[in-house]
Amino acid sequence: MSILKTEGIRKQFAKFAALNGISLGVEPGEIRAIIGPNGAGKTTFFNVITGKLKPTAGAVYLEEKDITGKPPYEITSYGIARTFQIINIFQGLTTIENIILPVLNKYGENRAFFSRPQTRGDIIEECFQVLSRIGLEKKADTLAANLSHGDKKKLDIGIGLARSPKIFLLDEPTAGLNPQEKQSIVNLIKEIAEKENLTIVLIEHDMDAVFSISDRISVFQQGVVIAEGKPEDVRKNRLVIDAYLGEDF
Amino acid sequence: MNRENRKVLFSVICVGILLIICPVFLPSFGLYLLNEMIIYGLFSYGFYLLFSHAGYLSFGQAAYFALGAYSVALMYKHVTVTIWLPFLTAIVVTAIVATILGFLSVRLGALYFAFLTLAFAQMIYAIVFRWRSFTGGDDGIPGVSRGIVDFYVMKVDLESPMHFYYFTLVIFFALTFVLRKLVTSSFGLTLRSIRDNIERSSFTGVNPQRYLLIAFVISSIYCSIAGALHTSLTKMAYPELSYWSTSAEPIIMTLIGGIYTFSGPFFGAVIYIFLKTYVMTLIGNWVLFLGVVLLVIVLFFRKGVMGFVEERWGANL
Repeated sequence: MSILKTEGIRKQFAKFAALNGISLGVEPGEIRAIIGPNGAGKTTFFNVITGKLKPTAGAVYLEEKDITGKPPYEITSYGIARTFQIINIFQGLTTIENIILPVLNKYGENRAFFSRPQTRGDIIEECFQVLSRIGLEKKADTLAANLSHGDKKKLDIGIGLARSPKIFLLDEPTAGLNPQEKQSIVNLIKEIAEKENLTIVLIEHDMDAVFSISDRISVFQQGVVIAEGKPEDVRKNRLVIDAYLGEDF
Repeated sequence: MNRENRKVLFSVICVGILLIICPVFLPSFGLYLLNEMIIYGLFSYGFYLLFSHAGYLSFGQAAYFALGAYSVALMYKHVTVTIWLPFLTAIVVTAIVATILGFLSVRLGALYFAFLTLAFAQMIYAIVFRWRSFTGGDDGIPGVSRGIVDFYVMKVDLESPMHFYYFTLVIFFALTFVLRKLVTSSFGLTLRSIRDNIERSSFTGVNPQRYLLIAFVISSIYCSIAGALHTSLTKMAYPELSYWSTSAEPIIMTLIGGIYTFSGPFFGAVIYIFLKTYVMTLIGNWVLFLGVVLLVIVLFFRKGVMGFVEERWGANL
């Protein structure tokens, strides 16, 4: 049984079809990479799954439940977390406050009108677990805006992770990072996938990262899936070489 | 308790004691002014919750100020001068109206929110102005009572300026305490997450519109209670209470006091009313003077007066 399944997703922007019938199934516990040239519709696909955009046609299922076109906050609460291509954190809040928010939401406590989250031992403890997982426990009280680029990327992942999702969508997690930071993000992704048995779908342009961590790869081009399979099969696929990877790879 | 918390507690106690003992020394006009300052402080807090924490600027809080004023004035006039029912009416009417108008206003983002709240407030102004048989039109409602607090064992007539002052002060202390709790709570943090990044907030599972609506209703109730007290203090209700220039007052007060400090709205109201009263009598051209004050604040004290004090004193007041 697929944990996440899409059927014939189409997304039309005026006359341009960004997604032209995407049917895709992700198995529980796998790491799935989505690759493809710019403008292939990868991020649009994430936006449709997570409710940021409504599809023109087609359906999205999470564990057989139809979640098509639901608002982002509902889809998040069903257990789909995501990060964004451009860092998307609460810059004006401290690192730990960034993590407190999703943890509060997980327990339905955003509307605790009179209790200070900082006095809730259980919630703070859980936040520190998340922070230590992403390696930011020493920077808990730093304003998020003052973190380094790499730390912000990690915090972005932490916000998603904090809500204990069933499936985690990562949009270019290593973009704009130096090799060292890249490696630490790749290790982090491997680690959370193993420890939490979390299903991960990631969009990535760094092929070393893609081939080292993914169980399966889907290749997008112009809004359709042109190939799908194990990394070694995708690497040899003629269509993929012509469309994206090139002869040298 | 750390050093900073001690400083905060010390300031709160000092200001509290000052507000409690002041009336003994003040002449009657001074007492009236101080009373007005406290009422406008409450009004500004109504604006502050939405603006400083959720990042949504309402340009129509006068509507709720007037709703509170008219509800209480009409109830005192036609039903009872015991305060409970009139104040309850003000709160319930405000909550209903704010829920409906808020629901329509929070959906399209912060900019449209400012315009929509302004438009709805002007509609309420038009209704108040035109519905002569009910609201008295542009004559308003003169000769409003200040009400009686009835504790069953004891009755306190608020007609006396001193009694009314302490009545206002008790409400002010209570509502300020509640607001402080609100903004430091999980709810307050959720509001600030919406201010900071509304999209990310919805991707943590929060429905931003719902939280904005709750904040809007709470904020409007604060304005409504301030309006109810204002009409009791001045003993009249008039259509200008709902006019857009009245909505601008808590905005300016909060700006003067400091938009991101908790004590800012109150001290902003104190400074604003003090200046308004004395500049008007001594210099005369209040609007020009206000313009200069705002210019100085925006150019040199963007954190407001209390923001400046906080920096100097090293405590978040």
